[in-house]
Amino acid sequence: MPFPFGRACTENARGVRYVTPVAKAVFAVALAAGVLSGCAGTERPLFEAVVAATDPPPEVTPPVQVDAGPPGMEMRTLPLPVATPQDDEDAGPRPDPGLDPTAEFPWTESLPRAGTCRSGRYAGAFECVLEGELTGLPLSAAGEVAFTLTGSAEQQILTVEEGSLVGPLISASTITGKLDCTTDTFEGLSEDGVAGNPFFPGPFASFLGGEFDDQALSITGNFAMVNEQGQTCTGMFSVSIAP
Amino acid sequence: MTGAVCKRRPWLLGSCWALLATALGACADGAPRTPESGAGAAGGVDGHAGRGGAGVDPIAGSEGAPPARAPNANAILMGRCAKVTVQSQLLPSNLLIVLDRSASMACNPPPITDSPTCERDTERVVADLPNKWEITRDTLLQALGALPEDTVVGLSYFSNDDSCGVRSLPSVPLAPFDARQSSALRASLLNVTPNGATPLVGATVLAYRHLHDKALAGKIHGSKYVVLITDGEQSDICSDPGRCRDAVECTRLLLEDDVPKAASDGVGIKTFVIGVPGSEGARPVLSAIAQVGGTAPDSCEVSKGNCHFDMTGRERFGDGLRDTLKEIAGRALSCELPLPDPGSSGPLELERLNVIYSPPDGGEPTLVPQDSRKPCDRGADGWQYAPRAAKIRLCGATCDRVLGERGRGGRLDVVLGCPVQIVQ
Repeated sequence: MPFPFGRACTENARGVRYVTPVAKAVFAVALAAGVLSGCAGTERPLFEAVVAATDPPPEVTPPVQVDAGPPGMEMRTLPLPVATPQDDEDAGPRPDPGLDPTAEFPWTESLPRAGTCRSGRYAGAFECVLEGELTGLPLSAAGEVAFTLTGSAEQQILTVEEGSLVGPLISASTITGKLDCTTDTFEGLSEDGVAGNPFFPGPFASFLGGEFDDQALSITGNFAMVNEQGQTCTGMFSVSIAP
Repeated sequence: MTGAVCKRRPWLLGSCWALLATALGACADGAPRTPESGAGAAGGVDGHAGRGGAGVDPIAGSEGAPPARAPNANAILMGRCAKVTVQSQLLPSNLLIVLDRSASMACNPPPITDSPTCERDTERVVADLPNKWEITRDTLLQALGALPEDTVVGLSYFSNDDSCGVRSLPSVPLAPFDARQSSALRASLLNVTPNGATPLVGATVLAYRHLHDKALAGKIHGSKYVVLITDGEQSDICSDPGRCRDAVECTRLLLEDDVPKAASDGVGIKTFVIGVPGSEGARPVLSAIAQVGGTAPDSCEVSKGNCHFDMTGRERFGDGLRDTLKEIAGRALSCELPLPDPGSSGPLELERLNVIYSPPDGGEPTLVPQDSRKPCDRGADGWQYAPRAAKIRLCGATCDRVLGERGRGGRLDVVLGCPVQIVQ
């Protein structure tokens, strides 16, 4: 039965349905007179598996079928709720009150890098200055350095292979070491150097310590040689990936 | 009869009032009153003679019976006790996909390239056949297409550089899976190539951080999941010296600290784990993450490595991954409702709240009972409060039905004021 005084029930923007006070009063009279019903046909037993959880009796009125508007989902029974102006206010998004604000997940974030730690053949040069002034003039040594970096990016550590140092009266045929892709640090060591230079005689070892430039795909850093007499030659080296 | 039952069992007085009221108002339209509508009702209250009894699916009815008209829902809806009825909606699911793009993903999957070989040399051997990354990417794109539009999806890679880099901010930020988000995910995935190590622990920890921070800020609501897809274990080199020194220590930290914390009630992030070919040696670890992360099946054993989605034994990796992602998408659907705001009607009384479901196509509204007899995912059928009474969860067949009829015009209402109706 349609409500005789216009729209009995309405619904605000948040889906809260309520009945106007006038409608509520009319319903009460209609219910008392048995004009309205909540049953449209055969019914199944009620409360088969459902009972009230609390002892006090719920205040329940007979179901009332109300014309709430369009057919389908809108044609349904409605409660007699309390409508307040606040019902129409949008409370906005609220966080779940059950969340624990003290829960933390610490881990060091890293800024993304554009380059890559790349395997391949690297070649370049070194130069160094001998300590002491044996002739009254600074003495220097220079030459070429080359090595191959191999390994999988999955490992993030590339290994030095096939390394060599070659210069006037200086040579070394083995370099060992690694490039740590996470820190971009390079370390190399050669222990089989041979020098025929009268100012830097005998077997020597050399050290290379540098930083990988993942944009230029090059390594630049410090170079040092030390012979059995304890003489040192310190300077710089630089290599870049072979085209 | 009703009155007699109520006299015999005064503790059922509340229900009797409802029945009495229903009986008084019933059938004024001339429809015949059947014996069921009266005697059956009393029998139901009695708890023995009613059809179905405890455990009956209050929505679908029992034993093939036609759907109940469920006037008990009307009793709640129409009761003077009902103060406010709020139309509710299922909260969305939030999926943050944490995807391995380490160098080994560039290998062809077994049997073309076995996992040990791939670990040593990450080159793709057969250029004409897709590598693990391409299979994962393309299958992921297909599977995402099946997600409901209100599912919130984001995508993080590990690494986000070509080394060990990880960040909490996803490469594709969380957003509802609409056409725009679908395009963003596609564009991102198609522009990524495998490289770098496997900073699995850091990526997972930071994914938890991002989801939790978003939830605390009220930016996301509903269930939260991390979907971890990897072909290996944590790389030694990708440790965070402030927390752990090597892969073993970092993995232990993840399993004993971060994953349980994420799965706890106060955070509520579950972790799905998919192990793609190459993760054979990581089965126990990945299974442990899934188990502690709350997504493992009951019967699994971590020591056997069968608690996560293991793709390593699949003959057709792509097919297996597609099935898995489809299953995850289904399991991740949310069956949660927000607690309504009672407005000025007073504080929310948890013991005076009821849930009404109205099926599509104008079906009769049906009361969904609260069922706390069993855990929500272990046999309950109705609704429960989430931990700390933060949300309402639909459970069992009730959840299945609501999800099954999702998007077809069904309606959920939360009614405040009347005593909660429970399954006994």
